[in-house]
Amino acid sequence: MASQPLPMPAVQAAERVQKQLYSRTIPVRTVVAVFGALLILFAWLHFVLALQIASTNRQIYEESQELARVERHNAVRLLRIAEAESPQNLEQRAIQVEYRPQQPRYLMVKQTSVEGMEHRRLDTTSVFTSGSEAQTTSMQDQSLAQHVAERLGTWLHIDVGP
Amino acid sequence: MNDTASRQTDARRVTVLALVLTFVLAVVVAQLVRYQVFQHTELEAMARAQREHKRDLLPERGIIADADGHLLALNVFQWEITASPEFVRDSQEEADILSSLMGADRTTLYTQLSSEAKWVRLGLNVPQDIGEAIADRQLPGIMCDLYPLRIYPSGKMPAHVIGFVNQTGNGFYGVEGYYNALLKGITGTVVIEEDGLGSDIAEPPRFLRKPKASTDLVLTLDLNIQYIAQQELQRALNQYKAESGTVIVMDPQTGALLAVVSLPTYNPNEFATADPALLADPSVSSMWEPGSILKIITWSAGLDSGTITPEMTVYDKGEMEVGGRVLENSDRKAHGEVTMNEALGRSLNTVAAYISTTMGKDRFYTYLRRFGFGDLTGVDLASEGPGRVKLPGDTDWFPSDLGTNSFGQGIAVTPMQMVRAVAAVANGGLLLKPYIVHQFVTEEEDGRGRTVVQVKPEITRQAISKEAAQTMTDMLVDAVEKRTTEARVRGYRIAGKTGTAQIPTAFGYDPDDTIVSFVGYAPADDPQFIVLVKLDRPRTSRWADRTAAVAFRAIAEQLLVYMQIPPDDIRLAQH
Repeated sequence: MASQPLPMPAVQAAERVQKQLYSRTIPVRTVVAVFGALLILFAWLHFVLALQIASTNRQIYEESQELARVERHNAVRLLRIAEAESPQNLEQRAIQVEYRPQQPRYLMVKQTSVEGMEHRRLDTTSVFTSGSEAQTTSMQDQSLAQHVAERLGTWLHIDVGP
Repeated sequence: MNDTASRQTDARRVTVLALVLTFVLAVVVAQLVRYQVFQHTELEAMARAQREHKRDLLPERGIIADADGHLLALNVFQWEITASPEFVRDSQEEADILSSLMGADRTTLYTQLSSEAKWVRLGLNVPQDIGEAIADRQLPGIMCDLYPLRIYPSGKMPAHVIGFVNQTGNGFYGVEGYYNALLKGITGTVVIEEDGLGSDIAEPPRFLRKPKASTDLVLTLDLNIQYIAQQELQRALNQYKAESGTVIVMDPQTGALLAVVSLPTYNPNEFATADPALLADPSVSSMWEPGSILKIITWSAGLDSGTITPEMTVYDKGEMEVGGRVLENSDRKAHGEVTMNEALGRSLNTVAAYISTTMGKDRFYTYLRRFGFGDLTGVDLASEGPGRVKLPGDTDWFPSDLGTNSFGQGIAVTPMQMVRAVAAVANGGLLLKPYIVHQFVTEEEDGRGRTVVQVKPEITRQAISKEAAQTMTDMLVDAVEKRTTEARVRGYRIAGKTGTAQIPTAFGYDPDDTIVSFVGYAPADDPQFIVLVKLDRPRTSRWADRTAAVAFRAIAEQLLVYMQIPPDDIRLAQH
């Protein structure tokens, strides 16, 4: 079973194929050109991506600056609102539109049906506002008293007057 | 022969050259090893230091709001406008622009911009809009720097409660001082890379430590009640020509502080120019001998311990000896046989001393401690003091102190301690921890929500029984109805007690001046507020019923309307 040498025509055929292969080898210039092109492509892609990243970062930076600016303006507006809402300011505004502090008015409550309330009953001889103010407001207090009576029920007799 | 010698010389030269090159190479390699292996760490650090810079990221300080959301402290930004005159291109043009934007004098600006100085300040605390307009112009040689500023929109009104923040961003006094760490948050650190020209390279920040968001505070304080209290206190100071004063309004059911005012005060927006003596909050840091309002505690202790009852009678001779010292009533009179109820109304010192001596020193001082005297109240306001209670066994305690302490002499308390102790009587005997922060609000780290922590009332202890507290309230109502009529509010049962205290000096008690006070609560059967009024050295009258009680009534009348508390008859009928 020793190996037999190839016959001459077969050797020639193999050499022919080898030559054909050699004849198809890519020239060095082409390789360099392709490599160069790939390099340029890679560099371009890298450049574009770097540009996009830088652009996005810049955009983020500008948006952050804008956000900070809006927040600063917001803080100023909050301050303006707080100043406008302060009791000192509201009091001044109220005086400007001619509001005046009201004296408390009292209703005389008689004959309540609640047991044990005697000691808590209002002093009926010294209630209500005094003088002319009481007379001028007695009508509106009458209606106020009726309103209270309606809310509390019929068992509560309410009387008002100076 | 010559050829051989020449070849040998060449070989030697080559060898020497090779050796020299090898040596040089070895030196280079050795240096590389030294730099890259042995000195790697420090050289890398040096390189980093050249291109990287650490910056602190300060979280914005938390805001403070009252119970209704009115802002009491917030942050705004202000601008500082400066110039380097040598870099200014056209002084006239820039002076024109800056003058029109800042509203400043054009000649002054021109003089500054054309001066030889290296640096000049053109404006400080420049408002937001103007600062931005100048910055947008990008004028050569003009620098615009932004800095945060803490602002208190209500100015003086809540100054003592809020405190202030100094230039370093740290809070002092009040809530700003007490919760400084929470309000500040935790400073973060970020690494920024710079290019060769020192400009930031726009890269995502590399955090060494992320900043932790600050906490916003919502107070129990009601700005309207604070305003009422401040207005009436100011009116009282003017009317009675008192030097100073304090008003505290508290919800006796929870310990929540509704208003805390002390006058004179300062503007926290200008704290640097304020009198340093005004900075601390007198309601928690100043103490005084309370005088007769401490009898509320003595009588409460007597009732709770079973030593007295309201109807129990004693014979008042006008004086009583305790520990070798003769104690007298304030009117220097003997009142004969009186009930405990009457004695409280008449504010008899001898009867107070009778109660404390009958109870004995151990029980009496135990009750004083149970009401919180001598201890911090734990209120969340900075610079609180514990007052001063001398106890048996202390080197400066004398047996006569048992008598004098019972009517508020020889004992020093803070206004906060006093109002807290009387609140315990008002609410049925529970000693509560006063508090002023109602909610802590913190942003989530991912910025997608907020965490709200609600503060709950905290009971320190049961100071006296509910029954004793109820009886004491009835006695205090009686005292107002029959004796201190100046404090009465028509339609409401008011419980309260006056206190006219002498002022201790290095030579005994001041013969002329007094500190007057009134503490009261309403409605007596279901107290919604307790008010302490304290006036220092009133000139028109030295008695509390003519001064502090009147101020109390003025405040109480407005509170009853503002808090929409119906008169007792209507309220109880509704029930």
